Amino acid sequence: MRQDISGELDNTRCPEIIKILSLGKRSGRLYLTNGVETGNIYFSDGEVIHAQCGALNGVKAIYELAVWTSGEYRFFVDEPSDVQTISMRVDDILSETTTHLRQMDKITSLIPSSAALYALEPEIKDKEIQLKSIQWKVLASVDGKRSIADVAEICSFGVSDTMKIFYTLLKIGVLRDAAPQDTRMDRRLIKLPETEFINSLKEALTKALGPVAPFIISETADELNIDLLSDNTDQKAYLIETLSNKIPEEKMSLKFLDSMTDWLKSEV
Amino acid sequence: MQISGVHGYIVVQGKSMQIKLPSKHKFSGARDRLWPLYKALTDGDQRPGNTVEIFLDDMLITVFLAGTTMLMVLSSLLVNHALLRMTGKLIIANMNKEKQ
Repeated sequence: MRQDISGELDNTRCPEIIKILSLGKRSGRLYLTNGVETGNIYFSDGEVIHAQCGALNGVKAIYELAVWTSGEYRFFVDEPSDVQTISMRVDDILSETTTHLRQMDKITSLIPSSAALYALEPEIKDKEIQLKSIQWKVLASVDGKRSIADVAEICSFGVSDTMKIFYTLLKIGVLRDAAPQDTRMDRRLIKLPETEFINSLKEALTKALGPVAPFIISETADELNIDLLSDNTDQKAYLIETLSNKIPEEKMSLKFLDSMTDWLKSEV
Repeated sequence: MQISGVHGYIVVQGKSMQIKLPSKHKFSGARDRLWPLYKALTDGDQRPGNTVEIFLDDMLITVFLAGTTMLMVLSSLLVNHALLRMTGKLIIANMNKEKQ
């Protein structure tokens, strides 16, 4: 088992690795892990012939692997696949994957991660709602305690496919955030000013902390006695720094700092 | 480190020291005086955090530490302190990542 390429998915994501291996006309197995799940993509003379991730096989497995932004990859030379589940050209696979990633970006603007919890919405506005069978299957597994990843496992769907279904169900209005009712009320009352700075801050912090971000921004600004509508760059920087210290995961905290520091520097 | 008010920086990694300061800056020739400071600051038992701010009469020295790597930023006292700390934190994190 000879291994000749390896690295971190933080630096190089799955589609880029596929491109590199394809250009090099490589044969073998690309092993990927995000720390929890693992996947494999098999190459033959630079063509992708098979992919597997959890219960998923074929191109769907590649879509799933393409979403991973952390973890590791290793390429094992001359480890052929016994099966062929993919007969698309690499360029077509990559183009489809890009479309899928764009969709996922849209989804993650509403759903922070596969760990998010949702419950059935008791007050459905529309009189009649039509659901597809896969949407029913997901809806039947939602209980306010199971995460999207749990539901994906129960339904034997891919996590990103399940996130797509959740996105649709949230848009239709049959699901709601599973946070306790009183917290939801508090959050509804948080109305942050709609400025370019606050919107960027909200977006970056939501990526790190989820939907509770507006509440944290408001609370932190109060603690620091900062007027969110102020144009004072020192105050903005102080707010960003304090918020970054409230993000428990260091990697996410640095990501938040990185995006907001760039924003701040462009303003100075 | 393109922040208004920053004079320059000094990077120390193990036995190497790189000074990026204007030649007339009073710290540009302070190599010998910086080693004891580096040794004292990289001793983890002596300090609780990873960022140290030293306020002089006319200058602010902000030191970022990660293991045996030290980034020392020299700036005016009127610099945007929070922006400087955030930028330094990002730089030292990247330096540490590259080192690993």
